[in-house]
Amino acid sequence: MADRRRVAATSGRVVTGILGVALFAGAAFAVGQVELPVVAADVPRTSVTPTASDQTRLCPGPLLRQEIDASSGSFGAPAVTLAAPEGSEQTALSAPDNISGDQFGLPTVVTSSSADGEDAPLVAAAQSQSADLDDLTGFAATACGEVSADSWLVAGSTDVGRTSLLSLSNPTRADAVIDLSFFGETGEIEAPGAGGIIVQAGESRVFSVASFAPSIRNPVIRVRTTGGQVYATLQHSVVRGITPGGVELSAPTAPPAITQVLPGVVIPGTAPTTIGETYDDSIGALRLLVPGADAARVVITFASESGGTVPEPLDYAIEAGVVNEIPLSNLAAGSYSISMSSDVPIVAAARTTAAAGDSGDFAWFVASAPIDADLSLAVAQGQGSRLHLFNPTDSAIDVTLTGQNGAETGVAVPAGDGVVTPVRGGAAYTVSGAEGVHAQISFEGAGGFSAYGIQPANPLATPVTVYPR
Amino acid sequence: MSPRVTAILVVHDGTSPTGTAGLQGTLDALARQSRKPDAVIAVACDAPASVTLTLERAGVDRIVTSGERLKFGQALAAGVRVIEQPDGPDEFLWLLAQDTPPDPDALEKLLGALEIAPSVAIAGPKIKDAADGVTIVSLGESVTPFGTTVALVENELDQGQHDNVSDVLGVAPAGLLVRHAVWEHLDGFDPALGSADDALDFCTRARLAGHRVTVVPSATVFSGGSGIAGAARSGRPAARRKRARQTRGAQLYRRLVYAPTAIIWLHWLSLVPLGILRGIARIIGKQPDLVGPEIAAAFRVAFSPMRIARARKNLRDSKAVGWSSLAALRIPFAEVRRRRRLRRESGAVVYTVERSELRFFTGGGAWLVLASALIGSALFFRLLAASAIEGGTILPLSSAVGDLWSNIGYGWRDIGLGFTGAADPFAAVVAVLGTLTFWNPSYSLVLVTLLALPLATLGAWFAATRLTEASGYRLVAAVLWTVAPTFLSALSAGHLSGILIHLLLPWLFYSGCVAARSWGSAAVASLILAATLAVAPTLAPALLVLWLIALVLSGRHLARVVWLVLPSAVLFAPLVWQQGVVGRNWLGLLADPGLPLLTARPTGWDLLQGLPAGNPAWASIADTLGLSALPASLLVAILLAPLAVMALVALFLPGSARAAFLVLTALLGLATAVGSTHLLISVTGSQAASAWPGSALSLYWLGLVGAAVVGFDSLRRSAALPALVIGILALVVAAPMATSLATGGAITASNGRTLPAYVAAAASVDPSLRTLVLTPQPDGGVAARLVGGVGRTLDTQSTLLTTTPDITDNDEKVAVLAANLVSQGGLDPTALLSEYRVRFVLLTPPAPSLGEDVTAPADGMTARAATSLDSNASLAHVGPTDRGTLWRFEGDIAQAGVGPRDPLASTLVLVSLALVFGFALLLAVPTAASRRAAESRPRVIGRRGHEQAPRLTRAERAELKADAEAEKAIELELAAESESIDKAEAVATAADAAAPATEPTGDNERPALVPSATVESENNDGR
Repeated sequence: MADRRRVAATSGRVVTGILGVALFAGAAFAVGQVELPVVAADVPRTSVTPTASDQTRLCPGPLLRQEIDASSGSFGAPAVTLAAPEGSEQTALSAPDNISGDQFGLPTVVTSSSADGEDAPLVAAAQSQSADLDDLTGFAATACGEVSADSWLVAGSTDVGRTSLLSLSNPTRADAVIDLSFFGETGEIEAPGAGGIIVQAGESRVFSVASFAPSIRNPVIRVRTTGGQVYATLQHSVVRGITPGGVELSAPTAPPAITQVLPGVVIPGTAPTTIGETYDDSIGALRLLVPGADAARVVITFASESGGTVPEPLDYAIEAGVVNEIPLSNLAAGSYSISMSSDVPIVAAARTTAAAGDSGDFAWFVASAPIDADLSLAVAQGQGSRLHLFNPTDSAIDVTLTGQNGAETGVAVPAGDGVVTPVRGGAAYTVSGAEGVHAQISFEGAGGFSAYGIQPANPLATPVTVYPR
Repeated sequence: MSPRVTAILVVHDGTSPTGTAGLQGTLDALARQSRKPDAVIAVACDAPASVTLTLERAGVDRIVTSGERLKFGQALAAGVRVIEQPDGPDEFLWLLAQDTPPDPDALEKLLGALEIAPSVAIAGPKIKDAADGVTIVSLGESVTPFGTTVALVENELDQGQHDNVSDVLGVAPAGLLVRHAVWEHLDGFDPALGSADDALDFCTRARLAGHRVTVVPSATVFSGGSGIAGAARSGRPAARRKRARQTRGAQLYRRLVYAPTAIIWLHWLSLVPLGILRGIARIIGKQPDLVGPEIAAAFRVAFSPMRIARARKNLRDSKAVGWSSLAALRIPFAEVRRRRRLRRESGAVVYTVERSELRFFTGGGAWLVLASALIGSALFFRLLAASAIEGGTILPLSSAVGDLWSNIGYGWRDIGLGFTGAADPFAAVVAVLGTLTFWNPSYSLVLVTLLALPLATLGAWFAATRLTEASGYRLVAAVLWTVAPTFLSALSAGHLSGILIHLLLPWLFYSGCVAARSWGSAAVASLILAATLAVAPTLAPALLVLWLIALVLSGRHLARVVWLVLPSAVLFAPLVWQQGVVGRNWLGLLADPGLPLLTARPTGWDLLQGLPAGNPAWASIADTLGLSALPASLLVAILLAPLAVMALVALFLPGSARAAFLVLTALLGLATAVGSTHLLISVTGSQAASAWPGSALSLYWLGLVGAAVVGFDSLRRSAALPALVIGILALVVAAPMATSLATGGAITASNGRTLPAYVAAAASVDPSLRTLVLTPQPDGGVAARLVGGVGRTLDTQSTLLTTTPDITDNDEKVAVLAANLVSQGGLDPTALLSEYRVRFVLLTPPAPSLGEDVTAPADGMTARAATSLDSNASLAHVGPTDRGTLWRFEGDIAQAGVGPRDPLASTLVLVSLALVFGFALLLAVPTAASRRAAESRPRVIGRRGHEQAPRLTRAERAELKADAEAEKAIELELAAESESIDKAEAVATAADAAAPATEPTGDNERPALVPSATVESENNDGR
């Protein structure tokens, strides 16, 4: 009896043990091998479109001529084109650095107030001016732009014969405290006095880049503000020997990003003759900076707007913090949209030079961000004005241009390609259906050579994804 | 004139619980009487036709039928009504019930006693248990000076030792022979009294009317104990409760009836308060089932004034002598105390089981805890001087203890813009922790961290005492538990739930596995279970399975096992209601409380090794040693394998039932851990965090270590070497992890604030000011949170918020404000900032996505937000702080509205929490009796062959089952406890007792089934 019980107990234990071991081993195997579906909560999120604000565009005012004593003054008034709804106001800023006072006009802020609860009004403005002095010639057109707390100017030069004047206009209600950073071909430049510059509200200040960063061929300038914000522009003029070589008013390029697009870079058919300089800035070049600490690998692709042959994509490893110029001399005359993709954020712009009479004129083509579906387009007065559109997406985009008289022009932009279409100088257009397109306006004619990018409106008022947890 | 005896037989259904004393037995016994009753009147209450037939066949003179089950007194009255009024003192009534067969000479002896003494009006027989025929059930009753009913002899083997008893205060109703005239004069039994004290009350009134009451030991009547005449003797819980209610009710009723008119109101007022006090005492006395009867009896008596008035009038009419005439018949206090002492001793002596010494100090447990404490303070040396900590899921606590407690239950939660909802049960745990260090609640978390290692060691050592008596194996178990990879990972990651669960689980095991043994253990286990579930709700399914198994195995202690989950259920009820029933978000109930913590998802392989978040310490060692070919995970797995092997070997050894249960626990823990890693339910910003698998891995580890210890225990001395090896290998695995704790780890000392000092200063003036905290997210979005006062605290976290997938109205409001603040839009935020009482806007550094640096979109959002906030005219830039960049709203803040009142549900929740947890705490309070009861059981559970059979000192009791005896002994102890309660109450009513005459006050004692060694009647004592 007792024996039988013991046998039963022992065999029970053996069965328990074998079962347990099998169960444990099975569980271990399952845990190690079997993939189970993950139950993930929906993260609550809400996309909020900020309330539309009053729209302001700042026109940087007349071109300046630097005197021997480094002071600067204006010599003529720019032509301003407005594409703004009725009721827009224009207010002049004070320009204490302009020795000519308000004789030839001042930096002007165009304000268009938004009705309550409505979308932001579509506002655009552009200005252009020709210079024909003995030391300053050429044509410069630029868009009147929005203030920013952080802008990158990829333009200018402080080499011999090159003058770069940095204009900082503060139309906001608060004084702006500005920190400037200068990068050159040797890396970041220690610039005494570049920090803590105060531009008072309603004031426009002009600084010579050479006073901060002298003898730099390829500067890139970062303008950061706290308090108020400024619209920064750079007036870049060239004198080769004793021959003036053109002027350009360059606006900030698109902020650092891993993709940059320069739509419609015009390679002119004729280049000015140059006298064997060590550095020939009349050759078209792409200026690049990797702002961070890590080197970038950048792939540059070209799309021809004229349908001609395009060069193979270029692949560059670019050191961080040092400004590089990549010559565009192997591009045939025509216009090209240049796309760059990088593994770390970069800033870029391109410069090309055209012959104009005895000398030449040059233009800066900045990178532009994709524009919104609807916008106003102001074409500055000038000869040979053309609109360049580039579509980086995978599907064709049909853009409609509506003139002031209501005439509509349809422009089909093929996927991954660019088109160019003539627009009338000094005219305002309404653009629709352009979401995702990069745009630029260029001027090429007997009067000179210039270009400006069309940046999306209200970059700091795009819809925000808010996570309430 | 010859005496005339009319027997009145009260019949219900004709059966008897013992089966031997049914109606037929009683009728047969009546027929065999040497002095037959002159008439037999049967009162059939709600009796079936067969019973009537039986009665008719037996030749009963009259059958009175009643459609309902009358009380014994009422039935007798119905029977007496049909006979003629007595015309002399020699007419007698003999009161019998269907289950009280008298001995053949019973009536003759009783009648003899009455015939020789005309002063005697009532004679009662010796009542013996019909089941065994030898146990005395009743041989006279008396009361203490405070009125507690005392059975002079109870549950004693009849050896003729009490056969010299005669004059008593009262006798039991069964077999009572009374002069008919006296019966009529006294108006019979009080119909308000049920089966308790009806005869005692009648005898008392007879005494007060100037008659004598005697007990005739030579006359024997057997009783089946069905409760028709006298209290039922069934041991079933329901019968126990009913008996308690009736006894107590009769007590109070008699008190009000006997009390002098002048102070009756005092007694009346004291009824309910005393009932509640006695209920509390019953809980402490580990008799929670008797709380209801106590209070029910008090209410019943309090609201039956008519019956009391009638009884008082009846008493007044018949009373002939003063109360003082009863003094000699009462049991004096000295005797009461002596009886109590004797019974306690008899309980302790008879049923002692040898319980070994704990050997905490001699066995080395204390030294191990000390070593653990030293190592713990070395590892957390940097926190020794800290007053608060943060990191991982740890946040500071509210600085006032009152705030901590106001954040539990259900009500207004001041999170974000605030909402009415259920708090996490964890808030209650936090409140308890914070109260421990009431001078600085946040310091409690510092203590938890610093003492984590020694507390884990201590708990594990005690848990191991449930599995083995060998000191060495207890030490090994404590070491294995302390160096558990999941525990060290939780300490390293700063996961508070993971730390607390590892400290709680050993105690849950220690108390939970003996919960069925005693109410005290069940109460302690229920409290620890509630804390465990509150800390780690993910364990609920696994623990539910274990509880169901325990429920199936619980046997007759079902109530204790059922009670285990009650506090947890009440604690979770509001959240379950709001989150599950209303919100339909049942999974959200499993979310870890506190701050969600994003952790790398461990592989199944990691989980098997008990690693909830990978093993960076070992990975770096493997890298340094160039062991890329032999991954660290494999090395650790090999080192830990012997433990798993031992746990599985235990399944083959004797006592494998324990091992099987523990291996099942381990598997449940493992399954829960796997489930946890697949449950990404706690949202923080744009990311969802998984439940911390470490909590479940603690359960897994508990099962493994427990099963291994069972294996050691079964192998006795031969397991010493394997145990040592397993312990050392676990230490080897733990060493690099512990070292990384000392050098790094997420837990850091903090200043107790989660917002900049500037904000804290402002909030100290006006705590209702809020701060909008903006955190750029990896995808370029922004997380916006409104934080009140000095910042986020652990007690104001809510899983309701972190797991709700919906955007509420409040979320929408905050989102609109935040989106406009991080944009250069046209919205003037002044009105919104003012309305939401936002004084500050804090832009914190971007939230990193898991395992990556801050992304470019997050940087972009940071820049955009900073720019927009800078340019906002209504905000002033305060500057960079330790928590991010701060802006201050310069406008006026709206007047603080009166906060919404907490709904009624809030009070209800708090009251039910207080009731249930108060109940559990009172139950958990150890008493001398409960300690003795615990000591009568071995410390280890479930091990065969070591338990000694209860040593029986009385051969006569040998037929009773051993465990039933132990049970009785415990109950006896508890009864003794409750007597001391009575005494306390008696003192409380001493003023009444001192009143004129000697009106009885006081309380009954529990009618315990007492195997008493010493019962002496008062006569025997000569008092």
